Amino acid sequence: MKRDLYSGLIFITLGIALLTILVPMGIVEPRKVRFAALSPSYYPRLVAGVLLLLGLAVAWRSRREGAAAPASNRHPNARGRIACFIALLGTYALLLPWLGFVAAGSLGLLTAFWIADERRLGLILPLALLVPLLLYFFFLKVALIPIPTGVLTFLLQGV
Amino acid sequence: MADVLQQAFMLFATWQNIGLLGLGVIIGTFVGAVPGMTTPMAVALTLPFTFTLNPVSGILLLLGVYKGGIYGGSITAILINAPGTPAASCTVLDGYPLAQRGEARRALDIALYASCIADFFSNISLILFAGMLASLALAFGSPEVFTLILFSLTIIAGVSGDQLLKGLGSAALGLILATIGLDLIYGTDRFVFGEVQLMSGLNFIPVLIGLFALPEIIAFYGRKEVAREHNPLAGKGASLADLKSCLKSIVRGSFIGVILGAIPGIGGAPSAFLSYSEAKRNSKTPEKFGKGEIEGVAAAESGNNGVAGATLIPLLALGIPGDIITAIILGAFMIHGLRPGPLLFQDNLSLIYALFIGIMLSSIYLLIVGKVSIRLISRIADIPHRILFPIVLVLCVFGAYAVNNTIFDVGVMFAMGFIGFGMLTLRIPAAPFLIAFILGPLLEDNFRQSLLLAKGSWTIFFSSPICWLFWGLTVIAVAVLVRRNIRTGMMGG
Repeated sequence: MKRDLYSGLIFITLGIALLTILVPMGIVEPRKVRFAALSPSYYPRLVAGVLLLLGLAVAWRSRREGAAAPASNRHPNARGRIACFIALLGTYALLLPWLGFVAAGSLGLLTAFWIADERRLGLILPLALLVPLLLYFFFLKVALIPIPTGVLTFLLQGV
Repeated sequence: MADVLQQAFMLFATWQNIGLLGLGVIIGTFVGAVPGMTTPMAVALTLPFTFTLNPVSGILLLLGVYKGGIYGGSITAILINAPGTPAASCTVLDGYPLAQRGEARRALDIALYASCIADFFSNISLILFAGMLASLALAFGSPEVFTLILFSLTIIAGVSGDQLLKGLGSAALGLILATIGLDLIYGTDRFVFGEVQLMSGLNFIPVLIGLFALPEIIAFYGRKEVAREHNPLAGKGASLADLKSCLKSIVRGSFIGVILGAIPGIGGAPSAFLSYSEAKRNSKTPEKFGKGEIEGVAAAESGNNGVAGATLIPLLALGIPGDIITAIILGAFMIHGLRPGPLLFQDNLSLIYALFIGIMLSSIYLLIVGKVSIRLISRIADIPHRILFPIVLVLCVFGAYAVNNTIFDVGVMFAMGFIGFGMLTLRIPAAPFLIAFILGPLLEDNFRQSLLLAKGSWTIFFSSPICWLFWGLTVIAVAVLVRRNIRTGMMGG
């Protein structure tokens, strides 16, 4: 994998995107600006320009870069496990508002243990149930932060 | 004078004061160690409990929470790569690699010693030099702060290692991300795209957790869990030799913390980064920084904790709160009918001295609470990663939510986690991103405020000796860096 080349290309793409699309569309300019340097877009444009130049420099330097050797401690099923975990994170984020923090936390925790090849149910089931519950009560009772309970509202409300 | 001191001692020496100060340090340390629970949040939550207390007890309780919280932030930074406070983010750089090598207890110990020493220095400075430092702090206007932050940003080169260009690119991304929100001068939207939650910008904590803790967890799933290599320092605390080797950096960091802490609005993070940068610049083995160098932890923590007493200087001497925490403490003073400033020294000197006695005691409390908690907490690092990391994930989700009570922040944390993992894969250093994200708003705000003051003239950035001092230091730092790079390039052929 040519890490420098990809890094350079990402910086270049972001720099161009900022200068041509994101800054013009994303920054609301006031009608009258006293000095150019006071404009809300001046500083982001400056940084975006620097990012573009750095991207070009990184990409240029990558000419001498060889392919990176795989890490020695790489898991045989590294890609599959990472893909599963990233999918878990996405699902966790999507289900959080609906399931609530305790239920989503328990399911997320159980799945994360499972993907990590931890299959001792006698250990992971109690952990998956207790950790989100303890965190919920800590934030609710100690820090006085109301945590959304989602589908478990009927069970946790008033406790 | 002796009468005042005697009165102050009488005011302070009650079991209630001694107990509440200790309780405050315990609460602060515990809260600071939870990602998402910030020190200002802990101080704010404690404030209502002080209403019924006498002024000394109430303010000492808040000061205890403040001091404990600043130290507590380093615990999770070292153990799980998730800094509890923005100021502790610098501790991550060397603290977490040490924990990964099984030297969590050593790192926590040195963080504690550095914190206590810096806190002590800061308290002494508060007591002895409050007036002098307050007048120095007043000499810092926007151009001076801009040049100071610019100098602090030279650390980016230091934390980029052999990936300088990518580190600078990473910093540019951090600077861009820090511009999200309402424009400070005109109040117009910047990269908000109609999303109301983005109007106040991205919160530090979800970004920090996402950038450091999540990529590490994702990367864990791509690795085989292997037994740690034998390390003679594993499980052991810091030795006297460790402390001696770090003492110079601790003292330097303490002074940096005291000076920056006295300037309203600077805070602990720039101080920690500047102290770290100076420790690296002065080290005989700078290449070890960022890879688990104990001196890096000491420098970051001393810079971070050196501000603790000093932030009270503008508050007590001038009545100006330098940050959110001191603003809350100012509120506590006012609730009790007191108004910090020169008149407080005139009318309530015994109360001020009673607070000073309590503040000095807080350093000792910090040492005791820290030592006890380290024995228990350092064992977290020994939990197998396949058990620990999923739990950390859930903790991060709760922590990210708790900052602003919004699921949006959890989304920000996940998004930053994916970005951080991408950066990890491409070997783009994350530390410059973080430094730029934290220092970026200070840099831009002071840059534009200076230009506003000078009606667009750039000469304002060269208008005072302090500006010239920081320009000089920046030029020297860049020159040293260029020279080092040229040498490395020549040695590498």
